[in-house]
Amino acid sequence: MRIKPDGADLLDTVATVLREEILPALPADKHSRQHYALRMALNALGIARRQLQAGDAAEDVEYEALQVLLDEDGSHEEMSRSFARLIRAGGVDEDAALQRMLWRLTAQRVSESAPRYLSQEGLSQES
Amino acid sequence: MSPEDIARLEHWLAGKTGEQVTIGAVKALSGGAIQENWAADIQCGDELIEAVIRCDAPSAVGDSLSRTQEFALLKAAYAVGVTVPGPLWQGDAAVLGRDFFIMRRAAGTAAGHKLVRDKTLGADREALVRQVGREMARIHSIRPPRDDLAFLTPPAVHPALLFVQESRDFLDQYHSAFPGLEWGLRWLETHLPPQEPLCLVHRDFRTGNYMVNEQGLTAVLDWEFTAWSQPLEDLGWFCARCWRFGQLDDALAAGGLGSREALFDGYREVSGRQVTAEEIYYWEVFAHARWAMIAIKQGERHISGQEPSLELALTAHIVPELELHILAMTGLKPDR
Repeated sequence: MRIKPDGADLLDTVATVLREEILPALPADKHSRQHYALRMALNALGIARRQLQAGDAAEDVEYEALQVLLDEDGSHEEMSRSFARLIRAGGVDEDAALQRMLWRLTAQRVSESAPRYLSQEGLSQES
Repeated sequence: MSPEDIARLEHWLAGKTGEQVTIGAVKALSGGAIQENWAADIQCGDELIEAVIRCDAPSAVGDSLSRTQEFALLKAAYAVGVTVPGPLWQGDAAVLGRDFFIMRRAAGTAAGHKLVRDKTLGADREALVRQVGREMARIHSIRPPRDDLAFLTPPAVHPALLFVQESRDFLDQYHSAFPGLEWGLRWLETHLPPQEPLCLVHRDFRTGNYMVNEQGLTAVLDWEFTAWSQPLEDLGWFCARCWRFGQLDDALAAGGLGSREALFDGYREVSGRQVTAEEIYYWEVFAHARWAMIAIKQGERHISGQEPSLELALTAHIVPELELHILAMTGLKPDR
C-alpha cells in the first residue's frame, strides 16, 4: 500500500498553497502574465486531480459497452479508432444507441478536462 | 532587437525614403509563436511614425502565411477600406535575417477577455459589432483572381469540404482518435451548403484579434490564416460559442459583445446582403470543428516534446468541450 497522503491529496494541497499564498503576492493587474500563469497552473492541477479521481473505471465501463455495440474487441485506443471510422462511414448517422454512446464518451472527457462546460450548459456529469 | 539590427534598419529605411531616419523606443510586444512584434518610433525626416515591426519568428512553423504575404494582404485590405494598421514598408530578409514588414501602430487593446468585461472599451457594443460586420463585408469584396494575392490558392473543392478532407487525413496519421470531432466532420460533409463564389476570408476574425479603443474598432489584426473561402465562414467564426470569452447569453452571441442582428446589419450596410442566423449555424459548427483541429495541433507541439508549454498542453484539453458542443449543436444532446 502506498504511503499517504496520496497524489490527489498532494495536488489539492498544492492548489491551496497557490491560491492562498502565491495569488495574493502577485501584481495587482489581474491580466498580468503571472496571473495568467497561475490560472493555467490551477487549471492543470484540476484536470490532473479529476483524472486521478476518476481513475480508469468510468472509461472502462464505456468501452465495454462500446465493445458490445460494435461487436469488436480491442484496446481503448483501437475501439476509439474503430468508432471514429464507423462514424466517418456514416454508420452512426441513424443509430440512436451509438449516438448516446458518443455523447457519453465525449461528456466523460469533458468532465475531466472542462467540467465548467457541463455546469454552464446545465448538463449533469452523469448524462 | 539588437542595436546592430536597429542601425541596419535605419540605414535601409533612409535609403528607401531618402530621409534621415532614426529609430527609438523599440520595445517587444506580445506576439505569437509564429511572429515577433516590435513597437518602434520612427523619426523619418520631419515625420514621427509610431510603428510596429512585424517579423517572422526564428522558428516559424508551417501552415500560416509569411510576413511578405501578410503585407500583401494588409495592402489589399487597406485599399478597400478595411480598418487595418496602415502598411508602410515591406522588409528585406537581408536587413534583419528574416522576413518582416513595418506598419502603423493602431491605438487601443486587443485583449478579448478584458474587452468583454470592461464596458468602457469599444464604446457602444452594438455599434462595435455593426462595425465588425462592415469590416467583414469589405474584406469579402476582394475576389479572385488577384495577381497581388497569387500566393493564395483557390480551393479546388468546396472550402468546407476541403477542411473535412484535410482534417481526416491528419487524424488518420495522428496517435489519438476523436470520435466527437469525427461526428462533426461527418455532419459538415452531409450538411454542406451550396457553394458561393469565392472571396477573401480572414478566417481568424474574432474577439481578441482586433483592437478597440473608447471610440470603437481601430484595427483588424492577425491575417495569417486568410484564404479564398466562403464569406459566411467569418461570421460563423465570430459568433461561435468558443470565441465569446465566457459570455454565453445569446444576446451577446456576436463575439461576446453584441447581437447577431447587429453583426448582420453592419454586414448588409456594406454588402447589401441580408444574412440570417440559420445560414450562420453551419459555420458555427464549422468553427468549433476547425478550432478543435487547431487545438489538437497546438497541443501536439507540447505532447511531442518539441515545445513544452503549459499553455499548449491546456489547449489540448479544450478539445473535448468543443467536441461536446458540436454534438449538442448537431442534435445529439440527450433529452432531459
